[in-house]
Amino acid sequence: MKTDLAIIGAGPAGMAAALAGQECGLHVTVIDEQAKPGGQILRQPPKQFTVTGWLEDRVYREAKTLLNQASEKSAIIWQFHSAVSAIVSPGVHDNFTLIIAGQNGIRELLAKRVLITPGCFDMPVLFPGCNLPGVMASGGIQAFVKCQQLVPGERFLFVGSHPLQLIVADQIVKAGGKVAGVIFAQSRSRMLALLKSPFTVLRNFDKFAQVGAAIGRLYKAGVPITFNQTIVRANGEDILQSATVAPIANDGLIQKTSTSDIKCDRLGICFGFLAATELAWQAGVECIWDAKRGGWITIHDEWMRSTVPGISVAGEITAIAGADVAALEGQIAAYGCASSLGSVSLQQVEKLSVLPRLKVKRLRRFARILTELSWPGASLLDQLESDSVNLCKCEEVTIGSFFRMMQLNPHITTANSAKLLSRAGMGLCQGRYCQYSVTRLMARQLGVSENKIGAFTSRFPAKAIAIHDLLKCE
Amino acid sequence: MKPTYDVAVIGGGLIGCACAYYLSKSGAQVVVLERGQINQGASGQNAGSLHFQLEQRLIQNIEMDVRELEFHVGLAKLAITHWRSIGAELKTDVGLSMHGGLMVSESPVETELLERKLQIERSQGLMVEMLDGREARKLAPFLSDNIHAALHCPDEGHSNPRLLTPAFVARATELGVHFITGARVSAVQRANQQWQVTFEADTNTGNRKQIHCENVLNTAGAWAVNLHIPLYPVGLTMNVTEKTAPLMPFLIQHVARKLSLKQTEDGNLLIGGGWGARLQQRSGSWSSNASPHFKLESVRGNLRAAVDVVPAVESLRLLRTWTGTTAITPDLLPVLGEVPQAPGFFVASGGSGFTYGPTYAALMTELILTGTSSYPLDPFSPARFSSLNSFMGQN
Ligand SMILES: Cc1cc2nc3c(=O)[nH]c(=O)nc-3n(C[C@H](O)[C@H](O)[C@H](O)COP(=O)(O)OP(=O)(O)OC[C@H]3O[C@@H](n4cnc5c(N)ncnc54)[C@H](O)[C@@H]3O)c2cc1C
Ligand SMILES: Cc1cc2nc3c(=O)[nH]c(=O)nc-3n(C[C@H](O)[C@H](O)[C@H](O)COP(=O)(O)OP(=O)(O)OC[C@H]3O[C@@H](n4cnc5c(N)ncnc54)[C@H](O)[C@@H]3O)c2cc1C
Repeated sequence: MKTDLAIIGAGPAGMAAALAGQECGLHVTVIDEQAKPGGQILRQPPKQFTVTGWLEDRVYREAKTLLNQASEKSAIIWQFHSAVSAIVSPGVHDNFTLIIAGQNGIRELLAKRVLITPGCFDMPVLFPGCNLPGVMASGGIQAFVKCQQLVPGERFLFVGSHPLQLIVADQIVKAGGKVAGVIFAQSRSRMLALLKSPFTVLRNFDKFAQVGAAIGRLYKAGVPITFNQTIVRANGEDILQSATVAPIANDGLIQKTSTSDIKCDRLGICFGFLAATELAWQAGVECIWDAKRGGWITIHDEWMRSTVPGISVAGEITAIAGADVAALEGQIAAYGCASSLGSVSLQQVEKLSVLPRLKVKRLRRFARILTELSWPGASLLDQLESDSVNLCKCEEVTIGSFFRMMQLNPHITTANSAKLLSRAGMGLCQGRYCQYSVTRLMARQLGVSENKIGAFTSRFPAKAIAIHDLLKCE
Repeated sequence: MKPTYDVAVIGGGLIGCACAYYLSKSGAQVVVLERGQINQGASGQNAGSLHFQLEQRLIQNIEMDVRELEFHVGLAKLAITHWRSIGAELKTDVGLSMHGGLMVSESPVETELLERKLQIERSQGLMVEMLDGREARKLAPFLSDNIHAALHCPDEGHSNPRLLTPAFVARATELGVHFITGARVSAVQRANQQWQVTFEADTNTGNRKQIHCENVLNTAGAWAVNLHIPLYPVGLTMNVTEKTAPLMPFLIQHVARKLSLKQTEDGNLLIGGGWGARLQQRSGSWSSNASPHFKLESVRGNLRAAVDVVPAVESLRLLRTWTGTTAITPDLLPVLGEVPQAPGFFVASGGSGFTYGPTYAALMTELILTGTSSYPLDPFSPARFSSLNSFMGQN
């Protein structure tokens, strides 16, 4: 199979790119491992469920419009239930080869241009008990609610620093679940700082309205929202039974002597998001470190072209900034690809991009403030660490054993060589879970920048694949 | 001025680090210069197989002189003894498992090859035993019904490439060896009866440093090519499956197909055997810092061979494919010895350097310090490439 533009991910970035690319006359193929388009923000209910009033909030309106427009375009080729396992760069011929794992085995797709828009995932945070069954990423909890109106627990507690936890808590309450509280690490005044600029509020009215309405409903339902507090430990024998929380003093130090326990069987963790850069790395795309905006994020030029000729990037992997920015970046990226393939002139796409560029610039400003505010701070993350906690869940490498490895092997100064010796990052998830912590921890310990520590080498397949499938269509 | 070091070792792979250990154990002052991180090259990327039987690549790819093969078997016997003592020597767990290896055949023609091999190995006193298909499956019930015969070598097995080189480094450091990482050697020159080795101390600033030494030992592996040695980089592919219940204690190889298969302590199956990967190019030449691109044909070919030999592999998931770069010589044998035109300049590289690395290192140490080695290294000497080295020794 062959295509002009292969888009990896059918989220806002991918959908907008598909539309723009198709309008410019490109043959476009969109690949997503999910069953339907929409991406993270519009996680769609599976066919057998009908969810009344699915995501009826106003903030979802733009994304839903995009979804409708994109789904209607018959010229766009959609490949769902399909995970891209690798992007193989052109060797002798000038096409990229995408290796795609689908329900019927492995297939290949040749593409002149590749646009990577795989989005982001919840930032894992390490604290004692964080691996207990019952402790979940808030995003994971939200996926349940969004898709199936299913409440995966009896009594929820949300802890973190990102406002998204208000939305998820509200969605739980709406779906009939019980929420014991929503706990923010920041001070109330810091959170309110966002409201100080009336322009910001006006321009992003929908988002404030959504959060405001959520807060209102949570108060009404009697859900306490507290500030200056943090999780310090999740408790339970084999399953979560309670969470120990502690206040944070003005100097940022956790008051570990005045803790209290809150009963819950589901703990939602919400400290922000990490860019899903593994495919980009694997394709050789250069990234830089930004602790607050997604960890390793991709580098791009004004047409969203990455450092690898022929590969563009858009959406959350270029820096966490939300659905609107993602869609605009996708659009611009597609214009860039179209003009480089000669299907439209550079002047034409320059014209088409004027407005999207302006909007991106404005929205990014807001996104920056939001990520700044939602960032828990390095000091908090440092204080939560404990030697017995698994740094790498897959290979069960504890923080303590990782430190010991570093101590005994002072020559190890990169994430890759640390991975080789400690096994952290070698497991099933290929470092999605531990890379952020490993990078941070090593940079801190060695007193160098994260960019010096570098990333794990990302390898085929991006997610484990059945050998049977791999051999089936030889 | 007296040189600071007796030996400067270029390259922090297994061979370099093991040499540093043995050299300093014998009293030498040693420095190791590694351009990146210790164990970042072939030594940290390989399959960890301990091949003591003559390998498929040696008996298939070239019509080799029987004497050369016999010589190889002699080295294997030496390596077996060496590995048996390595845990005690290094006082560390290096994931060593020596529960035996089976080299299988799938047809009478292939079995003939096994038999020819058996003759040579037996003649040199290597412990090997021929099993027919039924006997092989009795010993290893996981083998496919297609297996026609197998050559069993009870000493074969595997060790952990992640741990072996760091273990040598730890012990060498205790003995006083200096390891300098992030130090790419850019020039080696003879001046005032000693060697002057120039390296980049900081790749960002291009800041250069020099050290002086009596001898230079080049163990830069696939990268030694930059230093006038006829070594060629090849990209190789490795596959690892998810963890599974204990299935096989043996190292499995094939006499006519590229396959090595074993289970690690953690339960993953490691599948390799010499399938190619594409070296990355940058402006027309080999880009030595980049890991080679994997080839889907190689992954499939390798897994197909594994499934044909051990059908249970088919039900597992492929966790990861990785690639590595290793060095080969035109005749596939290692290069070990002093460059005739450049006294004091030694090379140690090539061959199945994981299996034989520690042994090469012990022998090279003897050669450097005493001028001879207890097992003759002449057949591996760089002298065999003399025509290529004729420009060495002059500035
Ligand atoms: C849990 C969670 C909740 C969020 N909630 C909100 C919210 O309420 N409001 C908001 O504005 N933003 C929210 N965000 C941020 C959200 O990610 C962005 O707003 C937006 O969806 C980003 O668009 P995108 O196109 O970059 O990525 P996404 O929308 O995440 O789309 C990426 C798509 O790529 C697919 N994909 C990834 N890797 C592969 C692969 N290898 N092969 C095939 N397909 C692949 C995924 O299945 C996914 O559908 C949330 C993020 C997360 C993680
Ligand atoms: C995928 C794969 C599988 C393999 N499987 C096996 C197996 O199962 N069994 C087996 O016996 N062998 C196997 N091998 C071969 C084995 O790994 C090598 O022969 C052995 O590791 C070589 O060790 P070395 O120290 O010579 O080289 P390397 O480990 O490559 O070390 C060379 C070092 O030199 C450094 N260097 C390079 N240039 C410079 C410079 N200018 N200045 C300073 N430093 C420099 C490099 O950074 C590198 O660290 C395999 C190899 C590969 C790639």
